[in-house]
Amino acid sequence: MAIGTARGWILTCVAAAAVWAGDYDPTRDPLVNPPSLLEPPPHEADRIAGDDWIVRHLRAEPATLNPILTSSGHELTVQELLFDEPVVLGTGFEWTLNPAMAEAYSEADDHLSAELRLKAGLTWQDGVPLTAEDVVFAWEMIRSEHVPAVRARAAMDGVADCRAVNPLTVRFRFREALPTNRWRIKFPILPRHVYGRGVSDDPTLSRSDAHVQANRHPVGNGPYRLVDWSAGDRIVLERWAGYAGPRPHFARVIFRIVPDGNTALLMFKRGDLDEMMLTPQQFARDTQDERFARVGVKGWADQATVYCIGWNMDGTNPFFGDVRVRQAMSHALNMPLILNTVYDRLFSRSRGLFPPGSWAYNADIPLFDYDPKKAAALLDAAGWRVDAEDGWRYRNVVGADGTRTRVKFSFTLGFAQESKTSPQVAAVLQQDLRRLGVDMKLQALEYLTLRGRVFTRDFQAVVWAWTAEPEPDNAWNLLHSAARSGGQNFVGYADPDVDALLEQGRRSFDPQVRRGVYQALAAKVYEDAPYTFLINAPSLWAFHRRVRGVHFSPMGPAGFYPGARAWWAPAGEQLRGRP
Amino acid sequence: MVRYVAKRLLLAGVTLVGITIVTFAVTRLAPGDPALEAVSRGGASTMSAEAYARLRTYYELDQPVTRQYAAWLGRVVRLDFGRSFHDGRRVTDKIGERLPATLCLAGGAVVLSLAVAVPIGLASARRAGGVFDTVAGGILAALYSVPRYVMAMLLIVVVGVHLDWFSPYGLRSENFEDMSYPGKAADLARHFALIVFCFAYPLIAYQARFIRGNLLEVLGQDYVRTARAKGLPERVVLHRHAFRNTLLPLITVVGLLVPSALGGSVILETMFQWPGIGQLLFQAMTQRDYPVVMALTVVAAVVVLLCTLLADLTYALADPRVRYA
Repeated sequence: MAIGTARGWILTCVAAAAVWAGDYDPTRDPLVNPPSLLEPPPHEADRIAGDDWIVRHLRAEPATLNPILTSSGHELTVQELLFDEPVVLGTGFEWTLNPAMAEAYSEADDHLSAELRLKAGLTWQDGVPLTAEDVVFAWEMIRSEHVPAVRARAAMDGVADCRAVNPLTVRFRFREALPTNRWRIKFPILPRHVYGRGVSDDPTLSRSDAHVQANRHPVGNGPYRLVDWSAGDRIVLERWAGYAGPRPHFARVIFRIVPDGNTALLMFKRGDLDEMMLTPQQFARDTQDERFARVGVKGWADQATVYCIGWNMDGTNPFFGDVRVRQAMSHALNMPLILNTVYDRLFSRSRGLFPPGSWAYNADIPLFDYDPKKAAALLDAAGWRVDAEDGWRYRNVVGADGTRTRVKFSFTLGFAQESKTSPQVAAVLQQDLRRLGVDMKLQALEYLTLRGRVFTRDFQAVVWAWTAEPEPDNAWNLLHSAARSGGQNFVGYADPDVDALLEQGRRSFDPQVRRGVYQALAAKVYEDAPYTFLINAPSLWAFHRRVRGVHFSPMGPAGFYPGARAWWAPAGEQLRGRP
Repeated sequence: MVRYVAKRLLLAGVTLVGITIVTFAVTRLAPGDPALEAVSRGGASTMSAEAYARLRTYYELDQPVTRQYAAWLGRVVRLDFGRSFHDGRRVTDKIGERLPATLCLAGGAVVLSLAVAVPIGLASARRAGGVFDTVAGGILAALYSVPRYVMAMLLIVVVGVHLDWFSPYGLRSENFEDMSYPGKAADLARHFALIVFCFAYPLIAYQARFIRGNLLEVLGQDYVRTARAKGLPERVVLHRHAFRNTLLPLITVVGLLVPSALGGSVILETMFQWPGIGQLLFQAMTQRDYPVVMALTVVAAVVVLLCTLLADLTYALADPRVRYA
């Protein structure tokens, strides 16, 4: 217990330090979002440095560059420059046909089948023609039970069949008529001539020497091709002359593999890196020196990552099954203080499930105000009364066998120890709850361990985050009662109204109806508080001063079309490359 | 001698198996597993328990731990370290491509440390208690007490970033392939300097004091007095008669330094972005890449056991009086 208390005090001190230090205002920082950073590429080619190289930060070494096997953000960052897909995310999260690859997409009137037509004359980087067979092959591999294609399989679930009608046309058949079917065909493609022959020897696509080699030095079809991969050091891509789409502006993209963020920032200040993602701490404090200002500028924008506290209500604890308790928790959280101090005014307050920028975002949801009195009243109403002797709240809980036991309101909040901000949020909440007579213990766990606890539903409350998908239907997996086992409804939320809204949103083809449904869903879930929604995490990036053409989508500055392909450096400011 | 070597080798084998059992148990006991790591990498809101179970089967984690260990040991005996959980590559390939970077480091550090430590040790011993000995001793003691990672951080921030005299990160610059040969050499030196120094400075301090101590002991011996009495110059006495006899323990110390250099590489290689096996071990541990962790443990254990054995044997070779029963 003594250790727990000591840790609590330390965390409280950390929070206090944050309160004291909270004087950063990004709107007054001259290095934030300068017009040059956002300037789109000009039409006059001679204004662009055509031979410059850009060195980007990669926070971990990719396990593979096979597009159906990649799953992490850092793998996708490299992969999206090597492989083009027929369907891409647009600048605002919208479903978009890739103009460099696809000619047309048409869905049948019954929405049970669709045809995708590829452009003629496409090739892979080794010169072999790219046809509908490659799309079909990728689909077969993704759904193969031997292939560990976690991300890709989840995305294309719902496609019942995929066939090549002719060399340029693919026909898809869907299991159900759903408005989200077009998203199901947004999956990567694979060169059949590279992988096809080895499938019988190694159906996993990831174990034989030939497949491992192909996954490390892939034959792609994107704007860049891989020229070098030095383990633990860097991955070098070069502009591919045969690319059918618009030519990207940097001749080379070099990814430096730097797992430690502080090291990366030092490298950036030295001029070893041209681009990196920053932590809030780095953005607000570690980039205030003259050394950084000499080489870099900063980008700051909304992003689709939602942070929240999840309350486990699967019945394993006597606290959070009651909506009044969850609402009390939400009222007890001092969000104004947290936004100003812990998050340095960089983060916006979350209004529930969907982030700003999503078409399902509901700007009219009334937020929980910080109101300890209301929280106390709600707890009283829920039967959690303050004991006059020790000041903690207790309730009589009836067990399954009918026996009554007096339970103290004491629970544990888990969070990732890697997070800089979660312990501070937790410490602020802990102080407020203590005044209310609720004993909240803090537990910092290594991310992987925390993930395991959440996955097996072995937690009481947890600081959690997810990146919202462009299609709000993905909320089904987080909230539907059927997703309590197997899905991601970790908190065990079950509400018939929510289930009905999710079903309705999934089946309706009227965009207006869907928008209304999901906005109502967001409002209902916010009020019901299976999660107490905290903030939308922003995109925080550093770029070298000469880099322009950066656009921030809800996915950040890359991960959509055109993303990093639109980045450019002005002629005369070329920094790297061959002299 | 043969019996001695055989006995030592047998003991080394038993020790090795013990080390692998402990490492195997510790890696499996650590919370989290590679399947969880793989399934949670994307953080997509769409992953499922079914995908997790499938990955556990894929990594053969659904088997009992004892059976996993037996299977692993069976493969290792045939020198098959298996494939990395992280990227499916052969573990031997992954280690092989990184070994040169680490060996360069360890070799460079040993050479540099000897090149500096021997003259300092000799000079200190020649006038023990003199100004040079006192000052050098003080500086070396101070250096020795600075932890490597503190020195590394200091050098990176001050010399690497602010003064920009050296490149503290990685092996080479971006346009290395377009440089002339002298340019390449200079580029490598700029990248090599700081990390090798960080590796070497505790060795310098340790070896210099070690040489000085041994020399002082030897200098008090009868045959040194005899050599001086014969009227030999002090330089000859020191170098030819005294120093040669301190080589023996030095060989042992250097032999034992190699494994410790490999061990120290985990932190330094990570801080300096040096793509060696220390960095690989660090990454493998955070990724729960069991086959790589196990293989590196075996490699490190073998190197330690071999170096200890070799140090003992060289000792016998260098000094005809030493014989093992």
